[in-house]
Amino acid sequence: MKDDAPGMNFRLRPPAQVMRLARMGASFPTRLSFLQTLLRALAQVKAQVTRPVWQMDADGYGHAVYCVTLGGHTYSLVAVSTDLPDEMRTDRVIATAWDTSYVLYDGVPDAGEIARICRAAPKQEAARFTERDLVLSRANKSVRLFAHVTDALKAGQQPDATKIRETGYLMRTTAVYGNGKFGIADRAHIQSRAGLGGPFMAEMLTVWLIRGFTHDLAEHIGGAPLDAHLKRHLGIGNATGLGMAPFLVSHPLLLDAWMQVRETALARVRGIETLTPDQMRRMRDLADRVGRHLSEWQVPDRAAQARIDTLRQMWPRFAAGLDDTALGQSYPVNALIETTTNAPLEMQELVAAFVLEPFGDLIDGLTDCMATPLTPQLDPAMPLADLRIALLRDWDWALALDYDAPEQCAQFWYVSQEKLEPRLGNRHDEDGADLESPLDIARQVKALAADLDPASGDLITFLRAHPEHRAAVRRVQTAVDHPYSEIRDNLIGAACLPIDMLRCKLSFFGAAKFDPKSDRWTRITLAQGAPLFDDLERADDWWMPHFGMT
Amino acid sequence: MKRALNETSGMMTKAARGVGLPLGVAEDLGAAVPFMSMTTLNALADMLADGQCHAGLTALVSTLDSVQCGSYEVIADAVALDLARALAAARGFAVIVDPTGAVNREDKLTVAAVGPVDVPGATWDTLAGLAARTYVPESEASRRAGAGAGLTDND
Repeated sequence: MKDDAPGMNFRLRPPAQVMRLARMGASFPTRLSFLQTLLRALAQVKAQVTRPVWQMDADGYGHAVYCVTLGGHTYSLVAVSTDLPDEMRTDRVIATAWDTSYVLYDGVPDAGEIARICRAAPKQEAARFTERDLVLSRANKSVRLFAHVTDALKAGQQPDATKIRETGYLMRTTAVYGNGKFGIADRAHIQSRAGLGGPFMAEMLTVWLIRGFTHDLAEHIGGAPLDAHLKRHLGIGNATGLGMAPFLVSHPLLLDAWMQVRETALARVRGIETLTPDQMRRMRDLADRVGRHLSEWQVPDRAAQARIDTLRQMWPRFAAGLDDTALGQSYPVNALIETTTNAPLEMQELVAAFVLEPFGDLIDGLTDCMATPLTPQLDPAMPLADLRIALLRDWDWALALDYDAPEQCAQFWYVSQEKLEPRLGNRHDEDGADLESPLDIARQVKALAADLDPASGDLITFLRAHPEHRAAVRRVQTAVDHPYSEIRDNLIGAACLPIDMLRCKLSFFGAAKFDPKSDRWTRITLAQGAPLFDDLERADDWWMPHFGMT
Repeated sequence: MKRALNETSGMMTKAARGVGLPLGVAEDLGAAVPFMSMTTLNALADMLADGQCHAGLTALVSTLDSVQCGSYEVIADAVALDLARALAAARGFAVIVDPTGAVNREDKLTVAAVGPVDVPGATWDTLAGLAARTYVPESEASRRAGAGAGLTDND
């Protein structure tokens, strides 16, 4: 990405630094994240959400339709709420029934289409959908909080603020399917539409509408309105497992686009020569907000909480350093970044996200570059010498490893026969490694390098003799022009933690309050503090919210 | 049944992997799906199901590498030529056949189809059956450990 912004040019952080799993697993949402981008787009057109259908019984079972227009197209969320026995409530993808299910529909569904969706949506993967259906999703109640909120409202009271603050959402989505899954529309169907063309915009619109539906449902059952302040703090939860992880490997150009945009934005703000008094004040206010957000981020997992505790200890010192002297120097943002060079990765990434937030005018336009129409292409004309240079330059980390060593091949990715979902197995203890999914990119590239070493002639001849290296050649070539396209770690090594891949991707979605349940499974919160349907004018300022925000 | 193009492409890649074609070749076949006629898609499914055709598919992808670099090549079989057209379109060029019967490249972009497409049930079943060869049967232990999550979420 060429960057023609004025001021001193700061280099992008190099891929060797950015594309490591540990750092990716320390990511935070930014104002460039997809949900934030979508809500700004909705605010810009002063989008109005309407609810033309509300067919719900007293217990909150039935269906509803919400409509919103963006970029000249109307989209409708059809929400279906059903009675789910407790023993069937699981966030796992193996579930077969959910409290609620959803379709984002292209247009305004007529009665026949609503009836079709009400029949199909509760079956989720077991049903087939049409190209009018853009996104398929489902969500389960956060049982204790949902019951508390509705009970309180029935009793004529507002729910307990502490409980709202601690959980932060009424329901968790457990899957949000787009791009052709189960017959729903291909992404190509909407990719050129204004407002919905960016990555995961349809999915983000769906979860934001679902979040509003959860508020409405609780108010309906409770028979009274929730305070807007409490509602705003009720985001939408999500439970995500391994199913999300391979995406970053199978979409290298998209990963590159996301990372390049974020890193370009970071380089731009580092290039700001001086700050205005207003900008200094804004940074101090934001730093205070971050501190409060951190104090409200509490998780049961001890290791994860220890990392949050470290941030809680470090952040006040960082915030206290945002005085007139520090912020009044030349290139103050760059100086802030440099003060964290030796800090824990999570602190470094939090500061990187923090310094982006006040400078939307400078960086928001970059989000137009987060989608890419390109697909990885192999260039059969590349001289072998150039391929060798690329290998040595970009893949030194992969070539240095011995994939026969037990710890470097300890894990294998596979697709389960039962749910057709990605899983991770232990190669030394479990069967199935002969059918492993090709996420062993580093090992593939090292195998390519070994056969390339003695080769002569051209790439066409090499690939004719070694068609097994075709995929690896394509990846090596792709990384030449797209340096952030590869995770630079061994994804089959014992040290690979899939949670790091999940957190990176979820951060780009805009997720916060990571609450890992294992090294391959996490809960998160989306849209906490985000605008409600009727206050989209707040869409520019809700990053890292805390409960005290008004 | 109507299938989204993305799910059809993905199924094609998995089916090709399932029969043991090299990953890069399987990726190429999947990427070519949005540029294939249904006749070609059906024929390709049959070729994947027929072990005799696998070497030919890999060779066709290699031949197209040569065409992409400007060589004149012979692709005698009509089905293979149709497939080559789709593979070339996915790479961003077109193949033309000159009066001598030699195949060469032409700089011409083809617009990909927008789904859904009506894939015959037999074709889909063939592809799904081959793709299933890449799936690992689960045990309860692998189901618990492999996904790393608990089984109920009533909190």
